[in-house]
Amino acid sequence: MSNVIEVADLRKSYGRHEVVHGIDLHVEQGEVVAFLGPNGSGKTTTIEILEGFGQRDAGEVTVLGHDPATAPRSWRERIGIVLQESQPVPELTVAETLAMQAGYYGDALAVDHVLDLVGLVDSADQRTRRLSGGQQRRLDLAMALIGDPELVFLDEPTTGFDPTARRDAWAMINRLKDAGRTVLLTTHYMDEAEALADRIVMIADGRIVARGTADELSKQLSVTPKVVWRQGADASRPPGDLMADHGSDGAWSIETIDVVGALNRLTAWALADDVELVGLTVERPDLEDVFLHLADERGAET
Amino acid sequence: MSAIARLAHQARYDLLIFRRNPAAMVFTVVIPTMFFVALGLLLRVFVDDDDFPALFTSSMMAFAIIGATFVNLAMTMTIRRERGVLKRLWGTPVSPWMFVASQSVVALAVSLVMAVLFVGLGSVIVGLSVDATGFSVVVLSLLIGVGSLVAMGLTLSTFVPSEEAAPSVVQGVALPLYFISGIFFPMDLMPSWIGAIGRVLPFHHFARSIEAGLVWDDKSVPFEHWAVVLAWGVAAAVFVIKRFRWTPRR
Repeated sequence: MSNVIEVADLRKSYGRHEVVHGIDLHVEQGEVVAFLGPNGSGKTTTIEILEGFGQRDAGEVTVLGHDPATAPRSWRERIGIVLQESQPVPELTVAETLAMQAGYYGDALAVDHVLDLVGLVDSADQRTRRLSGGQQRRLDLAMALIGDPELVFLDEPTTGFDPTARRDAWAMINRLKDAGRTVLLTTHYMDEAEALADRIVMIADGRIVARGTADELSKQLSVTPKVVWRQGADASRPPGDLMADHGSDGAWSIETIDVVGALNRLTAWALADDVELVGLTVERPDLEDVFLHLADERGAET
Repeated sequence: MSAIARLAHQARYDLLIFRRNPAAMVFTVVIPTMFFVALGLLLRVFVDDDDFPALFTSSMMAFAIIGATFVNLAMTMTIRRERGVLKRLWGTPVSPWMFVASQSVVALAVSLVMAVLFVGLGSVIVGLSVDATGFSVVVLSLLIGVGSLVAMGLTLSTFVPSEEAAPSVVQGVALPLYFISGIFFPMDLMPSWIGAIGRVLPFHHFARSIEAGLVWDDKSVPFEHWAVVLAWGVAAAVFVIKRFRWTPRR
């Protein structure tokens, strides 16, 4: 069985308010999949049901061959969980915290090895109350990894990190992937999803609104690439068949799926008319654009 | 790992956490010991009663052990629940009840240390004398009492809404109970209706079950007191099994 996670039509309500409206998900072994969505979109509710915390109202969920709601405790030997919010016990040191956690697993990794993996070797003998926010998050990750899990859940692993700490965390998560682990993470940062995930599942208001690789999402959501350049004010204007827009910032652009064709026609005209194309670039829309586009579309619908 | 090995593993760390937690040390060890010494030195001047050494020592011991079990667990379990410590534990292969068992082992160890300390202090300060059989009755009372008080502490923690509310809710429940249960104050000196309430609740019976061992001349096994303490403990345990929360309330 290659599917580590199988979810069909998952639903969950709190009181009369349905927060997850029918989610489907397949995650294969060794994949890194990101749930991307704004706060309150149902990411955490969904991931916690997969971790075995929450009871669902409807739908089929299988994680590593078990229904998380009824899985035996031995099932937890194979998963590692970084919760969105959890603090360590302040009275213990970093190494003691990990050693305590290691004792919960039948086959745990060595404490020193995991300290090294998350970059906490120098803080090993520090009480956890003295750790910075970023260091505490590393300890969270270390505690999730100590049992050598096949599947790792990361709920907003870098929220509140400075840029350096974020890049370090990304490198750690990429090492997990290289080691063949399956990772399901949630994030509300588009660049994070783009940097880490093989596949991105975009979620808003408890529904999946788009899914695929970062590239596929761009295509699927019809956010087209742009050819952008600037030219001298006295140069001749591009011919109409190029369908070029003159932006208020003075830049010219052509929005098109057929980038090669557009470039071909554009450069042919520029050579013929002796126009210098200053700073000619092709801009690929990043997920940020996709997300804004999507938010606009949803806004237009309602 | 076997269940025993897992329990020993967890208890080792929980004992370490207890020793390093200043609040737990102060409330369960330092303050009761200070009370014992100060009140013992004062009261022995005014009270000339054969029953006094056992009554006083058992009351102070009950106070210390209620602090180490009921009060301490109601506080620490609320804090650990709200900080996500219990939730994270729930996500590991270890049974959360192993964790509860470990808390009970630590509470029992601390209680035994306090019992030995207070019997020693009692003999020095208020002229207490206990024989081995009497002390074994005390130990039995502790076993029953600690188990029940742990369950009651966990029960109380489920009613504490937040970390900030823990000290006021927990002390707000414990302090009046000490007074109406004959722990700070002899029961025959209070209005009978208050005494009647105190006699239904477990603290009074816990203290008196310890006292029965300390005045072993009577040779009266405190079955009745044990029964009441145990009944409360079982009721609390049933509640905990059904209702205990492992995840934050926020």
